Amino acid sequence: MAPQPSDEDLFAAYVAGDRDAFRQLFDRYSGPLTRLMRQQIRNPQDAGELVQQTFLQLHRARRDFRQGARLKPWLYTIALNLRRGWFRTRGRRPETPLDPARHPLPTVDPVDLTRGEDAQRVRTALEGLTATQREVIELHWFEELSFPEVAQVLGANVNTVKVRAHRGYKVLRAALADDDGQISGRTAEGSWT
Amino acid sequence: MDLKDLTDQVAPGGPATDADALFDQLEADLAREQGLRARLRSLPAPVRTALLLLGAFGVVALVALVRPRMDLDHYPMGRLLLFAVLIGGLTAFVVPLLSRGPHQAPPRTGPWALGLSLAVPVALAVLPAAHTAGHDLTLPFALSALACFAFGTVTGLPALLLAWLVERQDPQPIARALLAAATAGLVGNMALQAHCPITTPLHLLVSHAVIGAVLVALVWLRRR
Repeated sequence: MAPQPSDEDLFAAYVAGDRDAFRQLFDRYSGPLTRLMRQQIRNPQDAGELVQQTFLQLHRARRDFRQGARLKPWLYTIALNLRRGWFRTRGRRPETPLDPARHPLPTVDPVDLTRGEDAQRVRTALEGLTATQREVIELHWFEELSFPEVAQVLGANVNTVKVRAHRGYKVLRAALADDDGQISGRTAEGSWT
Repeated sequence: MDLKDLTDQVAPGGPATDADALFDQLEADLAREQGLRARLRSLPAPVRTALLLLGAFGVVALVALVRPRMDLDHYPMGRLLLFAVLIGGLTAFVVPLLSRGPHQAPPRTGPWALGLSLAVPVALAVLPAAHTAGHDLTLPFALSALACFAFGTVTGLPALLLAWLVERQDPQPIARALLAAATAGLVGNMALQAHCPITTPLHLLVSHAVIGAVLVALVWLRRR
């Protein structure tokens, strides 16, 4: 099986005129970007419109993309800027994470009750984070960006981002630790030390 | 508990359920990307910055060539240099902020740039008069103030228009719209500095220095 082309290869192909490459990028990122939007915006139409706008802005910025740069931080910078702008123009604060009972997230299949409860615990734990911590956790944990990439997206210093992540993960660990106090996965350990 | 395993439950990352419909809308948006404005805002940021700088300083250069101030023999070069360095430098600092796109993190210097763009012209206006010769005494104060205000506003407006033309976001974010208005004020001030021979602080204050503030207020009122 042929290896998947990288984001950067696809974008370069699009800039060179291959429209299908843009569709592939869209398919690759429309889901994660929808997730990013819906973490703070309940209305799926609004979230979808912002995802669409993100790709429109990517198109407009296509000549600013430099060889050797990574596309993913770029895309998330656009998405977060648009999401912030969306709240600013409406004079509203980010909405709390979704209540799964009233606002089911796209493509979620309820696996079993225990897993659903775990997810709800994570949502509740995320609510305990400050806005800046949540932004860093969203990008580092959910979207799997590296700390330098998160710093690039947020226009912040890498050390500042690491401090926010450390504090955020500490809150999450405290809220999510099992009875034996253990959690695993892409947490602070091994990621920022 | 495996946090990674929970990620997909909390917020799944698969394709959006309505991806086809979203992409159709996106394609319709892309099809509308035609014409001068679409071409201008798709230019790389350095080119858009150069265009804005050319527009800003081009107007001033044109005024200096076509309608130069008549008191250059009396006007202290030091004062002229101070004005050029402060207002020109500020313009050169602010303009790149106007051509930033949403693929860049928001600049932290934005509020400072806006504040300085409004404050520096006022600070320069209230300095003691550069000289007392060459005042246009043939016009009443109010009339000359109004004429200068109109002249400065008209010469500043192309910068505002250009900033809108190269703006990638629709509508232009309010912070950038205000900064564009302040930049138009700076350009208007430079054009007046190149043209107007009146040096009294009151005239400079009410008809030169306030242009940026008035434009910013108008943009804010329109956008709020």
